[in-house]
Amino acid sequence: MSHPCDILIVDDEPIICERLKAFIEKEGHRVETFVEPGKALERLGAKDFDILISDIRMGEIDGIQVMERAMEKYRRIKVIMITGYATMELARESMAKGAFDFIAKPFKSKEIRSTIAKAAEEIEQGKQQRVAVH
Amino acid sequence: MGQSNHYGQGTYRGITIMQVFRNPMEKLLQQMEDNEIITNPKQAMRSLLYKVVYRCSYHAERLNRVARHIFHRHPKA
Repeated sequence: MSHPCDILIVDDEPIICERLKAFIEKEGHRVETFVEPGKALERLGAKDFDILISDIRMGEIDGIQVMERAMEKYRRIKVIMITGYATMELARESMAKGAFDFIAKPFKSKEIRSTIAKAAEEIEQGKQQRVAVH
Repeated sequence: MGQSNHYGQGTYRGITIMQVFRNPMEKLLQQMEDNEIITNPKQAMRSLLYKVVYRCSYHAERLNRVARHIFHRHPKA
């Protein structure tokens, strides 16, 4: 099992939030879900999360904006973008703005699970490096 | 169904490890959970089409990059 992380999930489809939360929590991570990006941004302002999983197309505030705001607040956050409207331009934009990974829907749960494990591994390595420096 | 045992494969820190299950049902449930497909329930078909097009363009771009790399190294080929 990977190192336990604080994970925030933002998706306007409640069923996706529920399914993701269910199996990510089984891996030992702490998960919070939001269907409204505005409320997710408020929560991001109040707490530092290790990983953000965000849908891209969500109405007035899109996932790219959520990612940018999250990275302004906490630079070490790993952002995983998920979308049902995947294009190369969107993937390039997300990765250029600092996303950790870009996953197109539909995807298998093991796909996002392995991405989370990789992100958790990088977070852990980063923490160990910082400890070694100080 | 094929031969069933109480072992499966998992990965930890990039290394493939054996995962032990208490019974075959647990293994089956884990496999079902791993293969669960997550998508937008209202626009599942549209999302799938977008993904197919996205994957095709992704692989086309990769092939293009490899071809450019080969022809750049061997301009006469």
